[in-house]
Amino acid sequence: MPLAPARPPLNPDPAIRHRVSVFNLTSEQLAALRDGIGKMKEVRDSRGFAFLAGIHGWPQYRCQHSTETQATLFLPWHRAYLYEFELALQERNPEARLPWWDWPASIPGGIPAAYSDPQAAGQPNPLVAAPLPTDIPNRPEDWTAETFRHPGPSSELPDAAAISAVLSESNYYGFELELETQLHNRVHGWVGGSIGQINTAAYDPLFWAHHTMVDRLWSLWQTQHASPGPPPETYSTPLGFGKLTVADVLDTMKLGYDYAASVEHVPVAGAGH
Amino acid sequence: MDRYVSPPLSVPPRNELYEHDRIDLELHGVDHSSGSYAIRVFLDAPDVDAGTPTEGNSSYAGSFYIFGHGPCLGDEGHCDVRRGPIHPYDYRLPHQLTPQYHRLQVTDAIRGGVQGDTFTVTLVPVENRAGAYEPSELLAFTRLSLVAYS
Repeated sequence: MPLAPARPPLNPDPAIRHRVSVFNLTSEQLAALRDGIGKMKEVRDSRGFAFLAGIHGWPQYRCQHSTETQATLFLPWHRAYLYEFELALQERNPEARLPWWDWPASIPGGIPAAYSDPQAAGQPNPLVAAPLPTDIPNRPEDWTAETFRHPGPSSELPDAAAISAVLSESNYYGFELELETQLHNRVHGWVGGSIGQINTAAYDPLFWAHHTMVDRLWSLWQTQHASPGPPPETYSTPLGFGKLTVADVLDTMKLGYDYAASVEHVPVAGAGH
Repeated sequence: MDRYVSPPLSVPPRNELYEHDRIDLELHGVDHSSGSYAIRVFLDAPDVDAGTPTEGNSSYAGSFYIFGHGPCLGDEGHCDVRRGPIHPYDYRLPHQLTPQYHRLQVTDAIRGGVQGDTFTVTLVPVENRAGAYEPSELLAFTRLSLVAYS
């Protein structure tokens, strides 16, 4: 069952970078991602993996999820967050892109091998885990040095029908709420461990592929419903990443990326590129 | 709490004038200050528990999914929910642990599965513990609503 109707590119801009399915990464694309994440972990300032992971939960707690008291900024905030993270990733490796984790495609096999194989090119796979912060005032006894996962039965992952049902919500508020609570939350809890709580979720490298899938579904919904989604009264709301407001993140093309299933570039010998 | 069984709720009447028919089950004031958990929803099945199968079970209507904050890591008061602005110039966003609203479409489960004029809703929380969904005591909310649209 297809997740959604295939769609053409939004705009044939050659400068646009494509985020592709984690299951369709070429060996070069996967190597660039691992290289970039590995190098980000070595950076201990605001360009590094730990700092950026710490924006979501501990210690900064700036993530936006639905509450009972206000319209949510869940999708715009996380789009800006991914954008900032991907720029930092590309500063370490210009060829690296954030892939999207196609949850239904994981039902047969669980967490994608790209993120679960213990070794990559003879070295520890940097996508399996990352260090957790140590300076915790109220540190639980079972705190671990690195992120960990304990995925549930893969039959508990959202299937294609569940995704189609959410995409069919014509009202943006309903779509965003159900995408967050019925799909996004479900997968966080399914993976379990560090990604299963807001405190530590973004320290798990898999978080970024998970949220790229969430962002992709918003992009699909925008195309299918011919609407950007968030109500205009939220457009001027700052998101806390540079100058970005809600209005700035409505169109992925204006952030320089689009979603594709797969991409392969073939340089032509002697063509000067 | 480890389980909730509602009092009998009335099956919303169909409006025969319109084709549209939608019934949502809503949870208000949902606490998410602990771990992540799922809330399995069963209709007219007050005796179900965390071991009750969902697959092929006609009383199972779907699940709510709560992404939990995790234990408080901060200093004293870090996880005390700030209830709104402290003065007119407080433009901060709501506290992270402000209770949540969740909803689940139960139209097909009610129209296809409920026989009488009333039915009960049973909520069974389960947690992923080491890869298996086990009974949980994290369920906490302030109101359950059944809302029908036509």
